Amino acid sequence: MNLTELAAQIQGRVLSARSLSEAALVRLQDAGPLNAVAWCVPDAARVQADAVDRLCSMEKDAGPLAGVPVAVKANIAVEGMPMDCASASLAGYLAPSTARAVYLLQNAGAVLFCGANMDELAIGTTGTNSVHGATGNPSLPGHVPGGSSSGSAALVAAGVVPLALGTDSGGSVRQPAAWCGVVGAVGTWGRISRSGVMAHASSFDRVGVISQGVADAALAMEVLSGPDSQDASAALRDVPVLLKAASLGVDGLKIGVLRQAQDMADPVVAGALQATLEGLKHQGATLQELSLPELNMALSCYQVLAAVEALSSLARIDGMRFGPRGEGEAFHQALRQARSVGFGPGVKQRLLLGSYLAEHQQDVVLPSRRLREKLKQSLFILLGQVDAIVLPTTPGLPLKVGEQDGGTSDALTALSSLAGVPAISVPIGRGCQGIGAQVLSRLWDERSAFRVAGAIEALNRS
Amino acid sequence: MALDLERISKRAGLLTEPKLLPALQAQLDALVGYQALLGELELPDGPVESAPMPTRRDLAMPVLSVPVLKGLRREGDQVCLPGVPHAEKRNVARVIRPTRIERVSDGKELQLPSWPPTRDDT
Repeated sequence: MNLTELAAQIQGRVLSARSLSEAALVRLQDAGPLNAVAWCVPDAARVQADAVDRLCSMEKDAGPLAGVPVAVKANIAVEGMPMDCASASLAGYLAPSTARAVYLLQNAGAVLFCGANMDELAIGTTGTNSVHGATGNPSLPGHVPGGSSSGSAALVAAGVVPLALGTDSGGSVRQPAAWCGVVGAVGTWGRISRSGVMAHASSFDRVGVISQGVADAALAMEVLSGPDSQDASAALRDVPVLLKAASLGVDGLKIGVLRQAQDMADPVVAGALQATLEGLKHQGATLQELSLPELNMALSCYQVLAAVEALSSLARIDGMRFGPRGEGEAFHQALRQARSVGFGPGVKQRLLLGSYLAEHQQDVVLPSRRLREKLKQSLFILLGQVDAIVLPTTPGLPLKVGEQDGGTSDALTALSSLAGVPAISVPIGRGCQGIGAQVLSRLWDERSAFRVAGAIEALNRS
Repeated sequence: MALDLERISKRAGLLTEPKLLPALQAQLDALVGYQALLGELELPDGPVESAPMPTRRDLAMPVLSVPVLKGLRREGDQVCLPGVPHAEKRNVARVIRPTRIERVSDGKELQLPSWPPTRDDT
């Protein structure tokens, strides 16, 4: 049952939001070993669910997500709830307001259950760098769930909630979605407000959705899209109609295939994608091979620019009120100590890289900004020739627990991050292997991406 | 790429931890190849888009605002200006009135925004 059907059953009082909530709470307890939860509000969830049921009993519209249990990543503000972003440096910090994205979900009838575990301060690709401990992968035990939206993906994959919010700078929604065997989607940069979301690298940060199906992601993105007076980067654009697009099929569409992406992928991943592309061709799509020679530089370009931006963004965490306090005669000495105790190794590495690069503006940072521009323009030209581009979400298979890849799992998600174009990861392959197909489309054209993503999902379910 | 861990740690607002050096050096080694490839590319000239300026989003960011705007309003408290590296002394300021701070380096007075921001407060 997808979210539209679920909400209709709640609205029609075939199901009650309260019973759905109680069932979700039981599943949440069962999923304890996954360590996917940062905080939980069962009583508040019951109150929200009862409010939805009251509206339905009065035959009032409870919203398109009526009674749907949701989780949000722990770097997204919910008033009064902990917002530690999985970092000791923010221990004890309670969000003083609610993020726009959460407000919109609740306004649409969704019932907020919990905050999801994550990689510290949204920096990481494994789901293991968290003050709350590592998150498990319910779809592939013994493997990491990916990150940084590890808890969001794990909770959806485990069936605890059908929908979760994540954030994505270099691939943090799409990569864990792929490795956990669920759908992860981000819209055009600026499509969803980021007010109340902890900044990591502002020119890349996007709020995204993780769900069990493509139609569910489309519905959630419709709910979340729109301008916000609290976020000047949220676009003044109409809310797109996406839900219907997910079931339109690909007949007549032209789909681009990036040769370099296939070359960079593990043979198993490349094979699964090739089979998917053949399936799309059978459904009436035309495939066109495309070339982007600089694709292998996208990850380094992202890493350089994200590190520089993170250095500024995370300077706001100063150990003055939250987390461990530092000692020292001078203010800056106390601050350095507080940050050194409060941050984990992954965050420190990112900050040190950013600090190093601050001395290399001319020879690394500026050329990287120019490369970003070049990659953007090249991608826009390619997207002008086709309706969408399909490439693997990650070049490799999910890492086993304890394995490290140096962050290279973002090598194919970084392209959309640099250009700010919509991207959706859909599970492909036989059974759950942790392989995702990633669909990119033109700026503000999420519709095409959802069309292709919906067709890929249908292929894999047939 | 030469590395002065003490200097870059200080700029990052961190203590110098030699144990972080190997992983950082590995990152920098990986960047050498990237930098070589950059040198071979024809990159566009002219102005490039820099990182976005702080937006309303940043002003509304609770984590940014709380330590400065809510927690430290007593006269004489020292605060760091938001959005800039704290390790730079020039960014340290002293609270002189609940909504005014004075930059230590040059005595310049700055106004703090109101807290909490409201949704209509544009």
